[in-house]
Amino acid sequence: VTPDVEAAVADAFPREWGRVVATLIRMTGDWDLAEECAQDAFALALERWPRDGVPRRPGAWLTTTARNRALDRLRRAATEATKLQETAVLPRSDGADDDGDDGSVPDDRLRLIFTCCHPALPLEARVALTLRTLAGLTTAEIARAFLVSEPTMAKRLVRAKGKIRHAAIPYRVPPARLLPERTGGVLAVLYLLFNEGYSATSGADLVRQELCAEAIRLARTLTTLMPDEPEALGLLALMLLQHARRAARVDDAGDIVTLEHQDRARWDTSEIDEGVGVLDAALRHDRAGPYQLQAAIAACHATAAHAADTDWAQIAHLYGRLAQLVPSAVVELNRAVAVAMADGPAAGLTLVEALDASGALTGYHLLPATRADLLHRLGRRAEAAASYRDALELAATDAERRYLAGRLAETTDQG
Amino acid sequence: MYDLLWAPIPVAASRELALSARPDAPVIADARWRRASQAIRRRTAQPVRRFAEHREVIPEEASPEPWVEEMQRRGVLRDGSRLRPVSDATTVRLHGGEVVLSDGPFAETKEQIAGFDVIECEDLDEAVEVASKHPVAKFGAIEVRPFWEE
Repeated sequence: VTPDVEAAVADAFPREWGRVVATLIRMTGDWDLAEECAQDAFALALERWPRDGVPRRPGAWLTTTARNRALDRLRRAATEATKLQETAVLPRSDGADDDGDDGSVPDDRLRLIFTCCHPALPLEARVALTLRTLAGLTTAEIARAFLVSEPTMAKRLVRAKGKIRHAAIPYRVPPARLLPERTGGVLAVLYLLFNEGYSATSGADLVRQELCAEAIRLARTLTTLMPDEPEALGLLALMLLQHARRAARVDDAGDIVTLEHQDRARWDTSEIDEGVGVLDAALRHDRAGPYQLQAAIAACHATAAHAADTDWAQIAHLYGRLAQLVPSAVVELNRAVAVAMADGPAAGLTLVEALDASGALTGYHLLPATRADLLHRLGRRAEAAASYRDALELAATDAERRYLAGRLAETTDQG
Repeated sequence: MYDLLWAPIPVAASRELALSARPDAPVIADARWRRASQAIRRRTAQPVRRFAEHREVIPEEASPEPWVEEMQRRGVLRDGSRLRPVSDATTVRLHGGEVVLSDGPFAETKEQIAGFDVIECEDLDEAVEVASKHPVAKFGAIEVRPFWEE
């Protein structure tokens, strides 16, 4: 195999895997068969393309090859009468490059992603199925990314496919009455996938960091499949804008660097530009949603040349709108921080104290941490120190505790 | 008329019943249900289990009549019945060839099966829609479980 051909196959894989699997599932109704035949098709490409040349439309070649493979295997397993009937309805194909599936036929990947993300499946299975069938990650890769053994992950996938079959989870894009809710479910799975990767910081977590790239790739696919869904664009924009800052998020010692102290030269400007462009496209639909608002907030941060240039009034406004759409005490806390930056610490503190009194965030370390920061800025050092101590008691990770201990020391030194 | 409460049974036997069993979820079967399940084996069949939080109290607004009428009209409902409370249940086991009876249900859980329905639907989305319209969904919970097919 020449390097050229190998590159062509490697290039086709992330683009075409999901499409081939999705089409084969529709044709055969058999998820395992679909995956195996897709695998066979890519293996055959490595064998044939050096001899015959890379086909004009690699995707169509792969789909046709996988389909013929499925036909063969179903015929061979012809003892099962029902499957014979299925082969009878499979369209016949004579050439390898005759499949007009470039836009003329609705993309099966959309059915696949909605089925993978069906709410009747356990959340972890939704994530794993999406990575396996749409992104083409191997079971071993998914197991490593989610820190479980390969047999455990294999079992999870088998069980999920079993439930799809036995409970008859439909292989389709949901009807209009279910679509908004189900779309939200798909976006939530992709965002979870992204956050799994984003929260991984150390070098040993490299496999997990790859999840960010997969999530972005899947979100990109979703935006092409649902071009009129501004929240899909919003999610893609949010991921791009967060991903652009990844290199500056931790220092060499692995400690968290807060936004205001990050080295902005280490931000990926081309990814920021792309994120802002995608967000603009989303906002043109004039149907704001939680992902678009979060992306807009991320854009306010990402486009400020210096921390001091951040448009905090705009951020406070965006958090206000977000709180209207998704009432949440955490959003309120973020709004309080933005208000403190825009209108001064006293205005922010009023909001934080109200939240504190409501009891909605009891046990959440960022509430006393925020309170402490605002008190410190108001020069009320003794109260600030007490709040930092409250926060330290609640913080879950070492990195967070180190950060808070540092701030506490600063407060008491000056006092 | 009695309903028989079946404890979890081996796979071979459960096929005969066209029911799947899980150790922590009691399965109710009776002759009528078996007949119904055999008749509809070809298509997806989803039994809807009704659970009530409070064993004996079925609120007035929970009358299933309108639901039963609607689902019969739609051709979805195959069979179904309320069950007497667990205080009327008898559990049967065979120990070394001896029939051993005990009073009450075989699993003491907070939620008890208060009834069941056999419905016939295109897919899980339709079964969920049908279940969500049942009055018990408002104050209890409904487990949707497919029949064992093949």
